[in-house]
Amino acid sequence: MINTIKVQRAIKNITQEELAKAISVSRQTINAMEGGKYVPSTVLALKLAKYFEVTIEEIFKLEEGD
Amino acid sequence: MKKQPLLPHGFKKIGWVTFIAVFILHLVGIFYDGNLPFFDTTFSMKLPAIVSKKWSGPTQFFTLVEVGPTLTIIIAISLISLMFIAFSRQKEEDEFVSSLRLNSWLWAAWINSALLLLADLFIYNEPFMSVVEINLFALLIIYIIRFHYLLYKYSKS
Repeated sequence: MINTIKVQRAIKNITQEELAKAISVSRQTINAMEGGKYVPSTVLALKLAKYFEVTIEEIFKLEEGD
Repeated sequence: MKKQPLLPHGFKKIGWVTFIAVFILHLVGIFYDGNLPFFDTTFSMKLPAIVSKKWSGPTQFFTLVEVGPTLTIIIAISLISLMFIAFSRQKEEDEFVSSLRLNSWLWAAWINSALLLLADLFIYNEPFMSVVEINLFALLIIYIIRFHYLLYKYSKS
C-alpha cells in the first residue's frame, strides 16, 4: 500500500511534529507511515482523512500485490 | 482503542533513576569485592519464606528463615525499577508504539530463549548459577533495549 501523507503534509505546509499533535499520535507514527513501515488502523486513517479534508482513497492506495 | 495495561508515564523516570543508582551501587560492590563498606554483611533477620532449604537440611515450606536481606532487597529494587521502565506508558502512547512494544517483546522472548538454550548446552557447574542470576533480568533488559532502539530509529527521518 502506498500513501500520500507526505504530499498532503506539504500541501498543508506542516511538519511531522505538528501533524502528530493535530491527530494526537507520536511523531514516530507519522514518520513510520510516511516511510511505508506502518499501516495505520482504520481509526487513524479516518482521522488523517478528516484532518486533511480529503477522502481516505486520496491518502491510501493499494499497490499491485496487495 | 482499548487501553493497554501500563503504568503512568511518570514511573519511567523513577525507574531509570532507581535502576542507575542500584547499578552504580553494584559496580561499587564489585570494586570492594562484595563487601560494601557501608553495608553490614553480618546483618540478618527473619523473613517469611514459601520454601527454603539449607545445603544439608530438610526442605521447609511456609516458614521463617534467618537470612541477610541485602541481596533480596537489591534484586527486588532492580526488578521493580526495570518493570517501571518497561511497563510505563510513553508520553505519546498510540497504536504504532503498541506495535513496537509487541515487536520488542517478541524479540526479547526469542533472544532470551536462545540464550537460555545456549547456556543449558554449554555452561556447567558453578557458572550455571550466574546464568540464573542474569536470567532474572535478561527478558526485561532485552525488551527495554529493543523498544528504545525502535523508538529512536523511527524518531529520525
